[in-house]
Amino acid sequence: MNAISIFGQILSEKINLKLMPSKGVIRIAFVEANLDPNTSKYVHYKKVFEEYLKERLERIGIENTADIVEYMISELVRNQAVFTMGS
Amino acid sequence: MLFGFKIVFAVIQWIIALALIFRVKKTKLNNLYLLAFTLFLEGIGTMFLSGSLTILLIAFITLDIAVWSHLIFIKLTFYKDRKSPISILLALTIPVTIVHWILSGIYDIGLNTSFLLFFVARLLYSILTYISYGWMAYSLIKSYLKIRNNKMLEPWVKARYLLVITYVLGKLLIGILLPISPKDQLALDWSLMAMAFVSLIILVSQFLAWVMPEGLRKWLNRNFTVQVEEIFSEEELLKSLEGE
Repeated sequence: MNAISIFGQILSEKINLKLMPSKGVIRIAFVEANLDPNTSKYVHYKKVFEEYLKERLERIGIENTADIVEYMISELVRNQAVFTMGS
Repeated sequence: MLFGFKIVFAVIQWIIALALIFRVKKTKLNNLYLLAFTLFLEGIGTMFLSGSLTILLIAFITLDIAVWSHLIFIKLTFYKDRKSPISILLALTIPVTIVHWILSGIYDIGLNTSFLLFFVARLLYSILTYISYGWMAYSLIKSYLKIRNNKMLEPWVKARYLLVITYVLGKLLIGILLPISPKDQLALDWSLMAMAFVSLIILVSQFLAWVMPEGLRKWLNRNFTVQVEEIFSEEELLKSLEGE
């Protein structure tokens, strides 16, 4: 299972950006955090969303990044079971 | 359940537990250790629950510890960083478990071997089953409803959800049938036949969910088109944004 696709879609719907660049934003945030983007670990996603996603979104001119990050973290927490079910 | 069937049930549960342990090595999802431990203990407990090998204390010590392990598995799988009733549920299980073990001990040493005591001991286990698998069913169905329309999620993952939901509901059904089934397992009774049938469904769905054969996984994904990953550089992202 590729969790980036799932959270990329959620981000894409939230910021009205196409799916592939939305996935790209998350992937780059992972690279910046020195973590494997193909991880199946919830804690890695949480770290990336909390510490790296905001800056990445700001760099591409997205507004209300704090709200978006908060939304992404809440979606991550709500959907955390997919990491176990999809591995 | 007949003893031979219970042995098969236990062995398959242990095989599934081993498969889960191997998966932890690969995925580092340590919560699966708890699920493996739960299945391992349930395999042991089932053998001593009834029939010629009835030792209620062994059965219920293993099965009740499996309930605790399963509750912690649910917490770690569905409720990390969010509120959950785990403390209340664990606190509820403690008095039930203590009474449970005392009654089982009384039955095993022969102080009272009446059907009533046998019934109450199994009824208490059903209550524990409902606490554990009831919470699992609630969490699982809620989680499935959120992801079922996600087009990016591979169909085999959704199928795993449905298989796990199937065996969890099966466990809840066993929780109803267990207390009312006869003490004498040699008697052919409708409740025993129903438990054997439901147990078979549980085993098959557990096996397919956690040891899903590669062929089945591919078949479930047959209509799923994997999108080619495109790794965007920041510049490409900006260009893409300009094109929006």
